[in-house]
Amino acid sequence: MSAETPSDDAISPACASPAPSPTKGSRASPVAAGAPASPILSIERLSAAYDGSLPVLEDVSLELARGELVAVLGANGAGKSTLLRTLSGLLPCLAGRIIFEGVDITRLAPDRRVVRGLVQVPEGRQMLAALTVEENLLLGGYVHRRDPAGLRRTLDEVFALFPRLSERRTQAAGLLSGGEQQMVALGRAMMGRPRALLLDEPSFGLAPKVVSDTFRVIDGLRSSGLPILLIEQNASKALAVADRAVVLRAGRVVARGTAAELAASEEVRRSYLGD
Amino acid sequence: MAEFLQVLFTGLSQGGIYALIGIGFSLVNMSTRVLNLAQGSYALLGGFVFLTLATRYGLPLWAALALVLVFVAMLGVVTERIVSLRVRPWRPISHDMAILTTLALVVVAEGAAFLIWGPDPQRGPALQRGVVNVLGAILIWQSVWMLVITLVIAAGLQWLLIRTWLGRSMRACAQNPLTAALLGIDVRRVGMAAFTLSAVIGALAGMLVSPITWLDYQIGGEFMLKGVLAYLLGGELAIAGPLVGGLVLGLVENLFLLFPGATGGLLKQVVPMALLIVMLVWRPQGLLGGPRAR
Repeated sequence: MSAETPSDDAISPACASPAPSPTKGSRASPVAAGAPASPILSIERLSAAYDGSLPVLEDVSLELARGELVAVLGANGAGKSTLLRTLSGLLPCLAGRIIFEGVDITRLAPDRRVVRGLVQVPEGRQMLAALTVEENLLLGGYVHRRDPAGLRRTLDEVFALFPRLSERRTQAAGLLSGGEQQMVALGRAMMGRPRALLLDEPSFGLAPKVVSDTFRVIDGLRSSGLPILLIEQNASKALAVADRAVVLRAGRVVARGTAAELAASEEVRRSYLGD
Repeated sequence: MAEFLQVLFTGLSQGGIYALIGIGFSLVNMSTRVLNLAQGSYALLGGFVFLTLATRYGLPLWAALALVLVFVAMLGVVTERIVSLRVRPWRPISHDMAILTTLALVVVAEGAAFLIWGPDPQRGPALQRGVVNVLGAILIWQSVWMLVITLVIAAGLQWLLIRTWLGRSMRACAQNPLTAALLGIDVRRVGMAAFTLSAVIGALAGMLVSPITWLDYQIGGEFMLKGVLAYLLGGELAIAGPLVGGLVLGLVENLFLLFPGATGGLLKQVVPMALLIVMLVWRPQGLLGGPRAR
């Protein structure tokens, strides 16, 4: 990873600490100074299906610019998680292309996408339950295993961001509370030094207080310049941190716009009421 | 006393061989969820190739050993390729098909061994000939080495699982292969490493045991059964489980010989299997297992 990318200091505690949330004004220019204007991730007319089923995702196009947070909203079964599975390579594309940093990754294996810096925080946090907190975090840095010193440094940064995890580093991750597991999931993704982050339902199964904490961390990551694609059912929370958003229904994009536009839109409300 | 010690030691050292096969089952199963029944066939083929190279072609033991390890490592890779040729992240392995495939490989290995080496039992060269007297018990040097090498291999693998990236990624796959893939781990390569490692360990078991029990073309199936038993008896701990399971199995088989009137043959087959049934019904998590943490 070169030093000039915005994601390199993504997890320095100063940037990402959940301390004061950035003001609306600071968010007005999502593209970091000096960064090229081309999107870091572009999804072009993507369709996907599970084995033998009808397409769950049809003709979805979406761009994520550098330094931007784009939310993908939609009710249960709208195709949000399918989109993310396709982006991470757990599901094949029927049609369309995925371009990440100018490279076509449509057919790349999941682990190769992580090597390129497209890192996912899976839904439900997916702890490696029997492994310790520290082992979970270290495995998040698997793709940087040839750089143990750098890995150590990133680990220290994650512990600085989540001091709670430092106290629990030798505990089995499966024994942590939901909120602590969410910290591990986020910290584990940071260990991969992502150049773009895919977040799948970070509010899933968490208490309201923990959801708020989690979104503060996400907001901190966003303002540090890390591009984030956020899949979320909790539309109000997602729109509060997002620059732009799209709404999926039945596998298609039915609305897109800035976060403010969508927050005021009737369409978004309808999607969340299940119709 | 001497007789007891004799049986105790024989049991442990034989149990060590079961443990090695069981550890092979464990490594592959944790990394890929496949129960690789061909586990005993690596011992069969590795043992036979070793004794052929060493006795018929007169190679020094270390050279024969090196060639055998390369050979069985390739067998391990081939097994993995056959089992998961059509596996993709979105098309997970079918465990029924995988088991049947590896069972077919057992038969293929058995047939090949029969064609190449014939029906008669053969024995390979020992690491050290002769016996040693310990408190009146006569121990064969080869079985002393068998036990020592088993323990060294088990310790080495334990270290590998805890301290190395390969070991960590194997444990990650054991927990959740999809999550492992999302962390950047090449799950197929981990599986291949597990198959290779277990094949090498199986072959070591076959080479070690052949001077004592001799090898015939059918022994792959026997190794496989004893290895599965060791694996299932021990419980979930990846290395300690099959190690303890194998040693207990070896002890149980041999301690029965202490009873007056007990004959080896039948009891040696029946008792372990009965033990397995008892375990699976009343303690399916194995001797060492706690609740499955997954």
